[in-house]
Amino acid sequence: MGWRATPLAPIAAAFALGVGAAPALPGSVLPWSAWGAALAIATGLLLRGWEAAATAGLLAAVIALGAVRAVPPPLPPNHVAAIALPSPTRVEGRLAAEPVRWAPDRTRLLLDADALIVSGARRPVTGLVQLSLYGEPPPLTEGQRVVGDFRLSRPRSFRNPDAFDHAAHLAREGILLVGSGRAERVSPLSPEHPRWNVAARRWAGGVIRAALPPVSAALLAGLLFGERTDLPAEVHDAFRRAGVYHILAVSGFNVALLALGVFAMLALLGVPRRATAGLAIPVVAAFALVVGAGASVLRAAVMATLLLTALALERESSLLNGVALAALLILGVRPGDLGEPGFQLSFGATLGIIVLAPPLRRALIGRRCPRRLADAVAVSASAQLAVTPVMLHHFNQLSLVGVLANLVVVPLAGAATLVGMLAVLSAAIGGLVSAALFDGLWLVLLALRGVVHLASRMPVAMLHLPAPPWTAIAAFYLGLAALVASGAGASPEKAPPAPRRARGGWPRLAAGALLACAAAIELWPLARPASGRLRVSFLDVGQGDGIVIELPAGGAALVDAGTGGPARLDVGERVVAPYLWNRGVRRLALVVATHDDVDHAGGIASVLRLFPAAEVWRADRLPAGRTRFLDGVGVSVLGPPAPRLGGSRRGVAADRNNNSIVLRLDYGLASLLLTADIEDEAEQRLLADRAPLRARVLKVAHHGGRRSTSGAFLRAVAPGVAVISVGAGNPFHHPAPQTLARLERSGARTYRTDQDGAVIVETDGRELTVTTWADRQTVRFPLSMHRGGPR
Amino acid sequence: MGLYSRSQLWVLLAITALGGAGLAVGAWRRAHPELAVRLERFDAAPASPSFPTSIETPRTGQPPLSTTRASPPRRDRMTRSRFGSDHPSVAPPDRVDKRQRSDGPLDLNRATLEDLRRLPGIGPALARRIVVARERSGRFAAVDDLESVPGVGAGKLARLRDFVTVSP
Repeated sequence: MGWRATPLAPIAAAFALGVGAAPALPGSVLPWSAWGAALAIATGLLLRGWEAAATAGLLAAVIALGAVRAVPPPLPPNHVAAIALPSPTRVEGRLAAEPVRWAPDRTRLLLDADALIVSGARRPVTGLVQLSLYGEPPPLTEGQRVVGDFRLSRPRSFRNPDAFDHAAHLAREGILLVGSGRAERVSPLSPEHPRWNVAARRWAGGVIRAALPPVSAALLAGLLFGERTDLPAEVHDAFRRAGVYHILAVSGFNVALLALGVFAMLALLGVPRRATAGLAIPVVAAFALVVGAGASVLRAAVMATLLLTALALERESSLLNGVALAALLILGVRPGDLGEPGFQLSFGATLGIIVLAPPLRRALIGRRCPRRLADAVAVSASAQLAVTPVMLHHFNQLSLVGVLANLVVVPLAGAATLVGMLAVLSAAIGGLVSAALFDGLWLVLLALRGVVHLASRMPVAMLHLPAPPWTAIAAFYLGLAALVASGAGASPEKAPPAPRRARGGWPRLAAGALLACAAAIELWPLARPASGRLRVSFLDVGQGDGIVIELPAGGAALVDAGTGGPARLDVGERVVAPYLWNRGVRRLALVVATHDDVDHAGGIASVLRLFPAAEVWRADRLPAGRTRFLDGVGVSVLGPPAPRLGGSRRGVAADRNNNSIVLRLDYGLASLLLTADIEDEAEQRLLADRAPLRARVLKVAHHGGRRSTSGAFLRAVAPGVAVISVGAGNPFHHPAPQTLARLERSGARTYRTDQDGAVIVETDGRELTVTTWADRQTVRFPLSMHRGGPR
Repeated sequence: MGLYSRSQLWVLLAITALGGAGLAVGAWRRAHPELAVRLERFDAAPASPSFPTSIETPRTGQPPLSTTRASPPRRDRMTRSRFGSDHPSVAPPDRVDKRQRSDGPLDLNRATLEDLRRLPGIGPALARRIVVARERSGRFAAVDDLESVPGVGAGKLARLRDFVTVSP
């Protein structure tokens, strides 16, 4: 396949390169001038007849154009994010997307704001706002105008090493402001008239829900239009573990099946092929509109339109050219998509199938694999290989059963999709046929769920590994390219039959070396020798605690895991677990839930689901002995006291805080005191019991609340470093200024996770360092035997 | 390299130049909206200072019928036609002179005192009360909000309903 056949591929690659480079550029001046210069030079070269050089100039100009497109424009003066807003604010605007219900009483809206109403006055504005509603909103649809009262703020990311950057993700979609409010406070200003495509999707969803039991209905809705919100979490999880999650996203698979259905139906009616191809184009376009504008849908629809046009005109078409056109269109309209997993997975898998599958198939057939099996395995394996770094980078996931599971799941899903489309369509005509189809379909869906369930239950169905560094990703893709090069030129009909041994040679060797390199870099965090250092990371989990303890001999423990549960962000799953995976932690020696408040124990359930834990301590289930040695680190339980504290004047919540687990860690000369949420009474009790409180590092109790960390307690601890785990703008006004003043007077250097991001304390027992992730600063604290010495 | 032919190169260069130029103009327009409006109106007839017209006027492509009130942007018209299907506005011929010219129902959120006084059953005092109520709450969310204005009862509201609307 020559480059002449795919004229768009270099252009699309250059544009994507520019878009990808944009975030690294300081401003828009550089790309603009590069664009102008490259254009002028290319034109000059072309006038002189130097075509090759002019092509290079053109590609440089396209790179610059990509960067220009992706550099965020300066905010117009009336942009919502550029205005200092009172809270709450009345905002009026148009819904820019269908509302998304992501939990039973949680709805997400995307509002294209056009006016703020501040003390009765309208102020025209522009800009997108993402809103979370609590409660039951009125029926809403895209394009409708609404008004409501919301608390607005800039989106915040948790600042932890290698963490998902929520604010950057929203900014890529053009959202610079988020808000929340009660659903009753939202009122529609125009009637709810869903557009035909939305109405069609809702109608089809209703038909499916009426005909099938809930979980099967949700699964079919996912297969047909990628609507996954109703699918229970455990089914989601099973599909992910089995490596077949892609069938729940609408992609080329659905579009191909749809086109196939149109072809089959019209062939039965005797319509000629060329006309059929022409007729299939509007069907594909309508389907894409009904399903919605995800990157995978757009890609599939653009490619299908190109292929069908080629068929209708009886021209040859190139798949690669179709991919390039789709990429150019999507990145031209939404450059931010380049960084999104949906775009990367869709294009990665497609490129993998186009580029990797043919040589793989030839290799399999060469080894006497039956043709059909070779086809299926080649497609499944090449898609999986191509997206492996993407899955690891975004989700830390490597599915091992995926290649095999797909061999069974894809045909089943294909059958279910085809029958499902027929059943929904026939429901529009008459009941009886559709009922029979749905009943038959139910068995297929059950079989599909059964296979996925079995595959997900296999012992090493999925591995959680660290996100690969860019070196590993580069080595991996270069290795794949070398592998293709070693097998290329061997297509039997085109190239002269090269002798088999000649095309093994150095590309194969290079491929092996590069892939081995990638694997070695990827697995290094799991295999590296023990550091001999104790590393305690106070993660930025918003309002709450999440403390990861990495032990000197390579083990790990966890104290609290932030908020969690179905109706809010699960910090255990989204923040703590990725951090552990990226540090190469695969099992936990100890998990401590200091007390049952949601900002401490909420995420624990997810962590226990994702990591095997040797021991779990809770306030009501404490170990018999009070001190334990983990890898040479002494872990002592100082609280709660044996008859639990009670009767605090501030009620049961304070009692629960007072009875949280107080831990002391000792390693060499270093010592850390983790005081969870204890308040005044528990501190008094610890002082009265003459507990060993003196410590170098203090995790300040209760997020710096004013009822904790009394002067007497601080004198007893005499910390050199104090860490407050607290969320910015929290409703409890933590940390209290009085507490901050007491800490200041004690002479301790105070760190806060809301300002410093993750605070990482590392020690070898003789010296202690504190690293703050927000500014990547490290401060050294020498440890001495003389406790009264300067700190 | 031989990637592209001469003519292909010319076309691609032109597309790249045009694309960049378009992006440049778009960025400039967003950064300086008031300059863009001035440029767009360079050949407009000079507006008399006592009757300010709003920026939205050129969007409808027609000169405003009444210079005291900017004609509503296109989006309002769409909404209004939707409302219209729910409430068919069949005005009796003898009332036509009371209606606000040929422009369809009157938008309560943009109407001036003069506009309101032309409505059936509304005199200068009630018109003033309506404007006061609008200023107090910022805007009317629905036609039914009129009922909260002292002097508008269920009967008057029913009579007014066909002549007024509420812009979003």
